[in-house]
Amino acid sequence: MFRLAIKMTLARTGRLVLTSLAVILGTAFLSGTFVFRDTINQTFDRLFADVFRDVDAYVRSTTFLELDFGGEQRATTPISVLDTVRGVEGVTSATGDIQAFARVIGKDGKPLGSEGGGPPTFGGIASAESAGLWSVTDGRLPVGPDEVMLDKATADNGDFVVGDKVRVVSFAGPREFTLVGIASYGDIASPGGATFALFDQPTASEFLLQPGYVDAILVESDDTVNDEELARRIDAALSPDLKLETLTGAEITAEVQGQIKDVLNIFATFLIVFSYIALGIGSFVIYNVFSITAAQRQRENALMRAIGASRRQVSRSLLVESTAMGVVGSLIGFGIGILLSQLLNALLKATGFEVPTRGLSINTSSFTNTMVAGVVVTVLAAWLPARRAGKVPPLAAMRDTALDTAGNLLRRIVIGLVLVGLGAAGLVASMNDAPVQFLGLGVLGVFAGVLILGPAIARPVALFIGSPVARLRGVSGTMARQNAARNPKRTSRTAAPVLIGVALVTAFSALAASIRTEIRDTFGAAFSGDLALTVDSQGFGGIPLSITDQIAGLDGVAQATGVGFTNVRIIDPNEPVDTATTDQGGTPAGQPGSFRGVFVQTINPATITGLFDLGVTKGDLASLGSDGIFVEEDNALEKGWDVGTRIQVVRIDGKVIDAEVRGFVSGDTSFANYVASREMFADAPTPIFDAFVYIKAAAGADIAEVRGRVAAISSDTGVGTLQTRDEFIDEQAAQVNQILALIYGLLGLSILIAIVGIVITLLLSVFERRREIGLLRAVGMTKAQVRTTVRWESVITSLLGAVSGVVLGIVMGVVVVAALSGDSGIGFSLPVGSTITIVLISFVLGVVAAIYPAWRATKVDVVQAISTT
Amino acid sequence: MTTLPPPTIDVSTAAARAVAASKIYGSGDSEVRALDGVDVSFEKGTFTAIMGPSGSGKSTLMHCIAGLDSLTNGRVFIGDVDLSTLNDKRLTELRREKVGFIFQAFNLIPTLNAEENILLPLTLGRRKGDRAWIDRVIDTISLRDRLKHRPSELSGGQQQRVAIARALASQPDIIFADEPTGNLDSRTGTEVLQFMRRAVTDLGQTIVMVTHDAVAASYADRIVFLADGKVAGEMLAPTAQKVLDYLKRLGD
Repeated sequence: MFRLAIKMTLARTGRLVLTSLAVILGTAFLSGTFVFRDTINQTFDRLFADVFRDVDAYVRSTTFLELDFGGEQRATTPISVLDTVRGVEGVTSATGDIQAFARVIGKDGKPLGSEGGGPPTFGGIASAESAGLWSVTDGRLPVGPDEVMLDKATADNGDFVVGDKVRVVSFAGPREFTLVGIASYGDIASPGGATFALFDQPTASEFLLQPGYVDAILVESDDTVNDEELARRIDAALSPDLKLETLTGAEITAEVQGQIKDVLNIFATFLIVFSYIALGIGSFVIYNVFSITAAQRQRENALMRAIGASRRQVSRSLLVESTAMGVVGSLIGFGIGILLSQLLNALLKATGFEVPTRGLSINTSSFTNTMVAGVVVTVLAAWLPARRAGKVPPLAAMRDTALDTAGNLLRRIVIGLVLVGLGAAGLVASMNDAPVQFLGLGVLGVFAGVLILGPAIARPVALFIGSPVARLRGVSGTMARQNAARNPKRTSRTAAPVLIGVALVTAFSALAASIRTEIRDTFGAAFSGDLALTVDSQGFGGIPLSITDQIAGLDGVAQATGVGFTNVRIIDPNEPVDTATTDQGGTPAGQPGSFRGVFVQTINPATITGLFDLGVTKGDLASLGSDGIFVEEDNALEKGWDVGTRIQVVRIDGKVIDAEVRGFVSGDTSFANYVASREMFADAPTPIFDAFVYIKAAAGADIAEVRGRVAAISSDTGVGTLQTRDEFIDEQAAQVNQILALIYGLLGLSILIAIVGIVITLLLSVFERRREIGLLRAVGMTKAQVRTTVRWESVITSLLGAVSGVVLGIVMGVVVVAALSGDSGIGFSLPVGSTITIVLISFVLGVVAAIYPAWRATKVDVVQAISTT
Repeated sequence: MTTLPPPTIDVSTAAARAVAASKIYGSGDSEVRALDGVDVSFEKGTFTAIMGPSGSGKSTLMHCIAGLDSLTNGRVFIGDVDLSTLNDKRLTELRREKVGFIFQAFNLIPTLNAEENILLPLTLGRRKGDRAWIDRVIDTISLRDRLKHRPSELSGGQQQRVAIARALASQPDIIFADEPTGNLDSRTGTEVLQFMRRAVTDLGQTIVMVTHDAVAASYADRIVFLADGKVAGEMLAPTAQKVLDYLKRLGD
């Protein structure tokens, strides 16, 4: 029986390829993201192995904060340690290392490198000892306070040559240097699209960090001693009061490799999750194809049963076929995925993230994961159709193929509605502080319910959507409409991928539109200034505080205040932490996460009042001082804090501040759960920045004139972006769009799969109806009319998915927004523009999907079609 | 009556004719001559049956004359039009306007009701048709009360009557019927044949019918016998008994 099943499978290679298409597509995205991740991981592994090639020991502070997304922020190391380290036996050389914020300003006054979301802009040290990282391709190393070296990519982009004046912005503000050298990073112009401005150590410390301090010390041994012993010797030589530690070259390499992997894996995981969603949607297509082919082969299966095959044998032969398809499809999909990963690379390169890929890396685990996922999904999708095939009565061999029916409609409607109701309840519950799993289960419930309802509603909805088509396109339109409605199960399954994609897009758009309106309203109410200077540097660098103060002092400026962010550790008095280990700084064993940093918003209480409303619900911002903190109200209540509660704030440099809660904010217009005065960080070795500067012009001053003056010391010198009140509020609202764009892009995958699903279903339908098409051709239907019929059936099916998806998406959007508005009062906004766009896209999608099947339909051999009996 | 004089081909009264028609499948050793130099003509207003054993080429002849299939050699005319000169679009239009079809099974489009099926060739050509004529056809086949029914709601005989009405609706020059009674029991079969007879006698239509059945053939004015792709003989004013006798002798 097994051999027979394989033989029967091979006899239908055409259909095998068609069905495999869905498997191929789903697995291709999966393997593409796997291979992409592997390749980048390997690249960075090699890159950092190169970077630390000549580093045998690494001295750094033990005080650090773990940040979100796997990063960390570490305290600085005094440069005086260099002499101690150089004196250790076995050390050949030791040099300081700095990686800090610095932005190179181009000749046109615009910063080089992308601002916000893009690769970071670094400042660092270039010295003879750190030559392992950088090889000077032009000029020489910088010496003294006026000289700078740039990475080759930045120099090329900025059109700089040795001898040019280059303006660089750091926390200390903009400063002009002379370009004396250009260097490349290993064998590439710039790693990951980042920009680098390099100085000698004293200049770097003073301009980028803090005079006399560096981030870490790189040590090279004389090779008379192994790295472990060297690290031990250095540790022994260091004063314990400095709270420093020494790592071997191998240790720091592995650590940095691990960190970069953590960051990259967040991105890769995001992609992989969407690939799995795509594969899930692909499983609908696979299920649909198996259902159709099983129905078309009903007579064949019945014949098998009639001549003595058991139910199980018939079912199993279909499962064997599906397994073969899963294996072949996944194999091909994996191959295509490798190509896709290259495409993904090219795409990132085009958007400015040049990822230095070195060769291609394919892990066996990526291969097995893809194969297992592909085969399992295929076999599972074939399970039900295979069982149904086994149930075919032997008598069916003597009958004509029956049309499939929607089965028990009432049962379908009841089960469907119950599931939708439960799903909606889950959605509402998740919005009202139920665990986040309820959200997932809710969405799942709603979709499952709608898919079960599908066949029940497909016929009337398809007939409704098709009625204008029937009126406009005559008999071809009438037949297209009837064809779309004749197999409601098939039509609804074909429309399902469109429905899911469109529903998600609509729900996200509705949510985003509502959030945009909300942001616009709250920001509009909170911000009463005329201009805003912003920098979106993702917590890395920003607007130097000195610039903020200069702006405040400008002629025509009545008031200016800066708002920034930094990371601290908050120690809750109710949850005491072992002080012995906190003193040490490193992550204590068995207490992961206790050193997690939190965002604190830094403000200037003296200038903020009357310019930006932080939504204070209790207390007075003026009372903040250098040891006060305001807490987001819900967060404070949850922790049982009130005004007067004493907590400890630990800064990045390790300084512990005994602080007091002095008030609450609503959280609507503050960006973090904690608000502190910038005074708290005045004596910190690592500088803080402002991310926003809000500016109010003096009464009667010409705003354009004031803007010009502010720009002269800020945006014109590469510091931030200067916007009017309206521009600023628009941009804040538009930030939602960035996330939305990413989600749209990824949901595009599901739309692609939806097209393929429609193509496959149409091809199978055309095959099934070839006698009918032959008859129509015989009695005088032209090829153009045949094409019209297929095309409109496709459009009706696609629109069926789109229209029900839009309805479902809006309902989900309304439910989610309504549930959210419980505490924040967001109103529902219908995204009219994007809804119309979605429906139009679905229309085009239907037309495109029909091209090939319609062509195939015109190739039906009339004589053969009408001669088969 | 073993041989008849060769039929005189009167171009002016022929609804359709084939001249030295040959259809060859394959080549070399595997060459099959489905039609081998067939000359045949179908007069306007007559009912002709084509008979012959399986593989004699009768279906191929019908498909070629109806413009569904093309000849290897020879020519085929519908009226005065040489089909070999037409492209696919013109051929489709010719079928729509000048030719009607009745098949053995699967004659109707399942998604259209009886009336829509009857009017299909007209609507495909965006023509209104002659309503009085169509009403007369519908009354002749007594299907007025079934017009809004789908094919799945009609009996086999009713479906075949709808198919006859569709073939007649556009008043074609010629109707081709391929085993129209092959799927029907003898009573409904007789009914269908009577309707076809009336279509010729009362409505003046031209029908060419391919059949195995001597009784069905006896409704025709004339029978053309085919064997091995060649015209083997003809019979005028046939009866079932005469046909059976002839076939018996042909087999000997």
